[in-house]
Amino acid sequence: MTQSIIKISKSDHMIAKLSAIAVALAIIDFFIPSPIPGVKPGIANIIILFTIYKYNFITGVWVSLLRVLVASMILGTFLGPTFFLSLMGAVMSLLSMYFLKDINKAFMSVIGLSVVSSSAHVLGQFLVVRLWIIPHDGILYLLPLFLLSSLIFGVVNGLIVENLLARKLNGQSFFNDKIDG
Amino acid sequence: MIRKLLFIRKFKTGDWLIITLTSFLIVLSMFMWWDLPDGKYIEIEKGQSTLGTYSINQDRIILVDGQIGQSQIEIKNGKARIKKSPCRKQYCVHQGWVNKKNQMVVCLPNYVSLFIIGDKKNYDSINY
Repeated sequence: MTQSIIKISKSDHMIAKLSAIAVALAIIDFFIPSPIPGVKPGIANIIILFTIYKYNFITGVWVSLLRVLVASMILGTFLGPTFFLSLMGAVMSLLSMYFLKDINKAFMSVIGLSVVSSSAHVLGQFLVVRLWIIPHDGILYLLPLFLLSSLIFGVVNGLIVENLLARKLNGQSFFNDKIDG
Repeated sequence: MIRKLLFIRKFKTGDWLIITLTSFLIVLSMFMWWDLPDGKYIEIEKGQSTLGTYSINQDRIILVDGQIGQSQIEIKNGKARIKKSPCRKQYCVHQGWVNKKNQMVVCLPNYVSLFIIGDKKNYDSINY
């Protein structure tokens, strides 16, 4: 009998669950009609912010990157320009969250983190678009619009996360409170 | 009920700070990229080849033979537009006048496009 060497820990299960929700949200996000192509609510960020606040940053990184990978495979954009845009956005927003996650929660709530991460997402995407996909200054004409939408949806998503963190189901927390190795 | 609507209470000092900073960034980017300089020349292309460069200050009508017919390009008062086009949807005609640097009008069915350029031509997504 060969034994399985890989031990599947509780945190792996939790990452899988959270990633599944994130992928579902990302796909809903993809099909939401939008007046300007590319302006999206970014609702998958809700679950990533939730993960970072409830568990830890590393779990959030896993969920975010798995979300990008799996959602792109389902939508058929894997390794295409859209995939790299999405990846760059995710990496930039994770970076911004890494620098701001340790700020005192009495000073800044998850709303601020949400706005920063969605703005970082937009800026990262514009960096890729400007340098690689459409190397033309004309594309920067759209930047204020995208930043405005990131501000609005960042606040909305932040409020949703705020509510989600406070929510209880039958007196119990919706997810396990602790995650262990 | 009313207490639920007061979600504004959830915003903390840091949140306001970040919202202000982002708004500032939006306004800054508007000033930087929404105020495009006026162009100096228009360049007309058919497919991959450049048909000619014309000054935007000289009023004239240019006739271009495209893939499906003749397009009429008008330059007037420092602005340019496609005045008539044989294409079906007439997107290029409805786009109207352009005069800012890097703006363009493209008529895909007829393979005709016009670009507004400054002193020299920048790279763009169509021919880089």
